[in-house]
Amino acid sequence: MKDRYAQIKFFASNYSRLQGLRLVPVGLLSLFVATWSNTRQGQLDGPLTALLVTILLYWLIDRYYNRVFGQVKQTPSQRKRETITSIAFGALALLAFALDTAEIIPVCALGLVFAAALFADFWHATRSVRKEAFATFPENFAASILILIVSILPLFGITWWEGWGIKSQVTGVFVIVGIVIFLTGIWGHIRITRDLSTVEAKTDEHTL
Amino acid sequence: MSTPFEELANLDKLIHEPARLAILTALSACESADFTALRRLTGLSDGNLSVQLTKLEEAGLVNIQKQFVAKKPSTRAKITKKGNEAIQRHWEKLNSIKQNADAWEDNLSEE
Repeated sequence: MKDRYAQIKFFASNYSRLQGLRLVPVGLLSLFVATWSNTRQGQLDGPLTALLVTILLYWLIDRYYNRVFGQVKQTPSQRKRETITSIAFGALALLAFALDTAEIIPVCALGLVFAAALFADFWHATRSVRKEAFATFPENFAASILILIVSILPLFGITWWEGWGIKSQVTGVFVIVGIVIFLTGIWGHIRITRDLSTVEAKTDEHTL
Repeated sequence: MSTPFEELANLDKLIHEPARLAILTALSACESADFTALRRLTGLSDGNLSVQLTKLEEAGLVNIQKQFVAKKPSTRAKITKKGNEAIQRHWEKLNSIKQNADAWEDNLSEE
């Protein structure tokens, strides 16, 4: 019985985060920008158009979720924590990008920051279902491990991005991040649709 | 010392009812939620959710705000301080009952 309430708490405290389709345009943008930077340089009309399409798609998805799933407002402490985390990881990402372009370390620092951000998100989101964290929210954990692995592969002499025809490791990591974000988004959407429907079927019989 | 059955009987019925416990649990994890989100989170039908929210509002455990958003009616619920304290206390009590029940069962099997 307690599991059901823990699940309700998990969904209520992470409502927007679990609406996976929100991630899909972001993943596609990352994938597009990485592909674009690998093939063309100089003209910015492509990425700017992609950014506008991403904003439009995000707005449409936001409207869809608000209409079908409703809105949950986070507590001020949750909002404050997310803002601080975003700023901290944003600053770390800039620093990591500088390190990567200078090519002074044998790993992809930006990939490590992405992996750490995804793991931190996974860890915080599952605090109400700690014992079943991996079963409840596996996609962020799996994504962080995958990005961590591709970021440290050059340490072992594996330059995997070259086999894909990608010019630099950072671009390669952006491609992986784009694919991973896209897939976790689809996964998240399937989960929220399936799990909230399951709760509905289980509970309506004994509440009236 | 009271048995787990007596402790269960002493639980606050207003909060312990499954639908209301689900609503309060959901609202205790956020600042507020609209009617659609609460329906999704708790799995209750529109009518049932409406009835349970009214009962919780009458008990002073939640606040209900009705407004129009883009010309459509919108109902938003927020847990009160009293409601938050009550649900925290209730979960602590349930955890304590579970621990006592486990200990009670162990004692019975030893005897």
